Amino acid sequence: MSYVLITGGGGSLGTKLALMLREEGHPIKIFDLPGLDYSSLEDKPGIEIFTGNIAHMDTLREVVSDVDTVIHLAALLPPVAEEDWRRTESVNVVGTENLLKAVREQKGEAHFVFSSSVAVYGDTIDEKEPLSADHALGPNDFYSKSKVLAEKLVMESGLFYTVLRISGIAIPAFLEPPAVWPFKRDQRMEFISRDDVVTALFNCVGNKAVRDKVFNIAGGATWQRMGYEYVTALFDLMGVPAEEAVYLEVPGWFHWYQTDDSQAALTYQNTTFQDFLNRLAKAIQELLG
Amino acid sequence: MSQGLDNLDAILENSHRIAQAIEGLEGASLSDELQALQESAEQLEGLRDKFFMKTVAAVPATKGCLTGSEKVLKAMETFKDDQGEESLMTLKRGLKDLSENVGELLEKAQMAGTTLT
Repeated sequence: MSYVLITGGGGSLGTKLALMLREEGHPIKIFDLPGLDYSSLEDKPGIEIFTGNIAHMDTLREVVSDVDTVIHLAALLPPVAEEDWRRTESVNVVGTENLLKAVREQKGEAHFVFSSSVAVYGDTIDEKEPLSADHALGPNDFYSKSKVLAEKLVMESGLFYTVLRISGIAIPAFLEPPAVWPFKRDQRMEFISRDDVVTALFNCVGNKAVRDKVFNIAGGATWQRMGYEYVTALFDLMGVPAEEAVYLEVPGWFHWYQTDDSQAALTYQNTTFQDFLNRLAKAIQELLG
Repeated sequence: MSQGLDNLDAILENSHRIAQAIEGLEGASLSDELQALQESAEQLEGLRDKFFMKTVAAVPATKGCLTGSEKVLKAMETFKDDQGEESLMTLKRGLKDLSENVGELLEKAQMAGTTLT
């Protein structure tokens, strides 16, 4: 069994992952900000919760002791990440650097799984083919720049690493959509269901075949849509006219991705786009009674 | 306009009529209920721009409030006619139920979280 640390473990992704790993018998440490809702993790044998600031080395040294796998999810995300470069750099880059240092100090053979983003490719709207993980990087905002810098630190850390460049994560619940969709109306996009991201992360643990690899993580062929197709499908279920959708006027980061290698290594693409829509339809039906 | 927003307009119209009727009542102290109603109306106004109000889920949620407000208007008329203790209790109960309906609608309309991260 691996002793797993999940940073950012207080979020919905981290919480689901922690519970899955715990069920498999892995002892878990969670590290995230104070004041979050840890109610589904508290009092669960095998899960320890630590809260604090990823910028503080002393806290990190205590948190990383004895772990052999780190799943680093903690990050500032857009839109907050676009407000202040210094703050984004502090959390996403320096925070990652601190964590890597703390892990290296105590366990040089640890496996570091880094949650990166397809944002690192930047504007690829004119590309005709799905993007591979070898595609050139083109960060064009604070968030993508912070992820590129953090990836470099991870890959040069000397630890065993797995970098997952994750696409937009879709949650099949009746939740508010973005005020502005992060792509142009006619832009290629390929999101992924949250449960499949959790599976991809889960299947990294104890998996030597994914060491020192970089993967795109996206939903697969059934999720490869044009922006308006995706939004229209969601809005139809919610009873909202598709014309109400607001899209970016400049290209967002998204595209279609080559994921044969990541799927072969991590067998995570278990939710088709139709499965996702069916789950969302069920959530809406439950609300309607 | 969506059905949810149409219902919201009707609820606000009814709330306004109820508030005016309470202010014009003699022989009954409903100042707490009036204040609660006015606060509810303010919060309901704030729902106009919520995405929830454009969705199908807003229809049953607003229907509950609309029906509740119509019951209060009816109870108001009965109390005006007979000024009786029983009709006053019915009116107060109706106002309490309406306040609860509004609370449920406000909670549902939050749609906490986002469908994309």
